[in-house]
Amino acid sequence: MSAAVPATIEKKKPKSSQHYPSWGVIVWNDPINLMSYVVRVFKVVLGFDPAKAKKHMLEVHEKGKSCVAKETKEKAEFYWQQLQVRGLKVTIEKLN
Amino acid sequence: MQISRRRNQIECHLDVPEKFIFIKALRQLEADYRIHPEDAEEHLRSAWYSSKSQDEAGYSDDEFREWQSQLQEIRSERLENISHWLDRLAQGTSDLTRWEIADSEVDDLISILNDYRLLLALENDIGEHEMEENCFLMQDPDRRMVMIEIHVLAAFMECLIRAVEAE
Repeated sequence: MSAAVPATIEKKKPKSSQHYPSWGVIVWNDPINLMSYVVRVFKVVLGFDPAKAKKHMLEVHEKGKSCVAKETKEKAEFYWQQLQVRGLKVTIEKLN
Repeated sequence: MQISRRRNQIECHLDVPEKFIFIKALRQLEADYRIHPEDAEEHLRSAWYSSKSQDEAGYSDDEFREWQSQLQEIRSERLENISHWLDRLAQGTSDLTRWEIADSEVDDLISILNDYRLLLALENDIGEHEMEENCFLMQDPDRRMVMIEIHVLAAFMECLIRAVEAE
C-alpha cells in the first residue's frame, strides 16, 4: 500500500442466503492503493470509526493482510463485492 | 491543484497538466467500464475482476461469471457521473479550470481515480519498487509519464479525501 457511511449503494442481490458458518473478509496489501484511500473505504463500506479504520489499514500495510469482518456468508459476500468494486484486494474465507 | 470544501461541495482548481491527466483518465474509464469482464484484457481483469476467492466461496464457473458481471454492472453505474464531469470540464476555457463536485459524488470520484491508477500499474508492470522510486529520474520517458500520472492522481485523491472529511 502506498502512502470512506454505512454502505449505501448497492442493491445487487447477494448470491447466498446461508447464515452459518461465519466467514472472514480479508483485505490484502498492495503497493498502489493509498493508505488514506483504504482508510476511507473502510469507513464508507464497513462503517468503521477513524481509529478502527486506521488500525486495520496499518495491519494490512505491515502484516500484508487484515481480517476486516467476520460475518455470515451473505454479509461477507456483500462486503467482498463492495470492497472489490472500490479496487481493494479482498478475499473471503470460511472460518473453521 | 487546489481543493477546498464549501458548504456541501468540493471546489477544485486544476492547472493544465492536471486537467489533461484527469480527462485522459476519465475517457479511458468511460471506455473500460463498458467492457464485459469476459472480453477484458488480462491487466483489466486482474485489476478489477480478480478470481481470488472463487473456490473458497464455492462458486461454480457460471456463478463466478455472474459475480463478475455484477461487479461490472456496479462500475458501469459510474458512467453517468463520468459523462457529466467530462461535460463540465470541457466548459473550462482558462488555464486554470475551476470545477465543483457535490460531496455525494466524491467517493465515486476517488474510486474512479483509484481504478485508473490500478489499471496503469498493472498495464505497465508497476510494483512497490517503482512506487518508491523518484519518477523524474526514470530513464524511459513512457514509464516516467505513467508514474507521473499515478502520482498526480494520488495527490488528487488525497486532497479530495482531506476535503470531504474536513469538518
